[in-house]
Amino acid sequence: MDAASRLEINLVSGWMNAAGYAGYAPPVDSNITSPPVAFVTNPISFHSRTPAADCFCSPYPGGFLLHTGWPNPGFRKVLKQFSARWTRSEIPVWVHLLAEQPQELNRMVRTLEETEGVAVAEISLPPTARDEWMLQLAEAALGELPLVICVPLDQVTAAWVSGVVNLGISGLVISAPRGMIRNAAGSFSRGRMIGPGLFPQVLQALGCLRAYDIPLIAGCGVFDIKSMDTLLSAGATAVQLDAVLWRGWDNRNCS
Amino acid sequence: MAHGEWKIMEIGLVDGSLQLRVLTSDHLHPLPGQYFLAFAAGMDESLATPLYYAGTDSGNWFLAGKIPPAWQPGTRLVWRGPLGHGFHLPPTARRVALAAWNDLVTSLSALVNLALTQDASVVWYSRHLPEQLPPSVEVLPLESLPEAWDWADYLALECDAIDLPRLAASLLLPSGGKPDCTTEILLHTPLTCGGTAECGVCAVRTKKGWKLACKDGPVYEFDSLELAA
Repeated sequence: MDAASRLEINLVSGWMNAAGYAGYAPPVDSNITSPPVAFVTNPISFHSRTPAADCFCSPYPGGFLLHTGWPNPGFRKVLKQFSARWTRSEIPVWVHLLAEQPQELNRMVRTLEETEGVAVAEISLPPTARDEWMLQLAEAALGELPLVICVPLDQVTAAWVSGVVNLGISGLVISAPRGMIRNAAGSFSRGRMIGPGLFPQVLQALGCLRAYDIPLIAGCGVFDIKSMDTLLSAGATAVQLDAVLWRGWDNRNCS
Repeated sequence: MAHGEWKIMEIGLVDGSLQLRVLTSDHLHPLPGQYFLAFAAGMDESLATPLYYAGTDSGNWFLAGKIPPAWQPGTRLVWRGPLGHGFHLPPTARRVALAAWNDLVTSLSALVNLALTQDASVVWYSRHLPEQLPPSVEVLPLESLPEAWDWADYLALECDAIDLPRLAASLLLPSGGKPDCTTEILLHTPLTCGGTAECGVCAVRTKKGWKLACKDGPVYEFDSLELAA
């Protein structure tokens, strides 16, 4: 597959949840008056993962740093438990896969192709892998399902991004970057950065990635209707909401 | 799950912890240990703040937690809840022991009133001398807590999840490692998603595997927990 044979993701403009913020199956539990345009599952790995021993949630001005280890029951168990709800879903279901090994990723995607109700495979790549490994993983996930790849905000200009776009993927999600914070013990803890303080960088990243001419989903930094509308008018196909779904939407600011 | 809005009527310092006073939501009956997630509308808050039910008085609720400094009397809060599992004081309990292992005490004061209502004797174990306990409550130092096994028929504990192994060691559990009386514990972990996402940041290790404090807790039967570090 190449850029010329890119599969369409058939997404209408609007909001959806980001992976990890609404569980494994719809509906999204939120107080937003407009319905979501799609549902993204929590990240799923081939093997089960337990919570990280050093889980933390640490606020800082503009947001917070979160580290969980992406615990999940593993691909087979998730499929068994939730695929019926994916089939019944009234909105497209995007299954988010944690890419670790090409063969495992390939097996998961092949299974999803045979699973009713799955509209898109969304994958996140290892945060510190080399470019060649990123490309191998993305290639292993290509198939009959539209493939969307998450690009952390701090890697928008990385060489592997143009590489995966040229493979013929169907879209990019601008996702949460990683950061470090000093913990109570005086050492440093790493995690995902989440919060409205990211918004200006997301808008900037959207401008950079538009050159690829593929659907772009803004997947972090949105905490109010104004930010969402700004990203949609700046060219985002859709917006993914993260921790604002946990906090609650401030309907006072809705148009 | 219910949701709505509160206006903060008052913020007070109770035994070193901040408590909010809001008007009750008549249709709800939260248990001590259950929590609400709330955020201040119009302020730049990335996360909702867990507010633990701490008691009722004359149409008011008292809610305790790590109150953001920007919250003031009059601040409008958007909330949902009550969430999670709270304490279940047995109606037959007549000798109730309560122990606050850490400085943030959120829910034990509500248990004091419940216990006194059912004519129970109450002992409060703490590092600090509490200011606002009814005079009938006996106060003992935390070091005396192992004595509770010889006396209490219900023990409620509260601590940070990270401190659980140290707390367990200090309890000097009776032989067999099981408490002699009904024992429940509120474990403080980050409560970010309120049970909507299974994000795992609040995960607690139990004898039946990992459980999420946001929906399976934050109050657990002490005997159900894995106590080793």
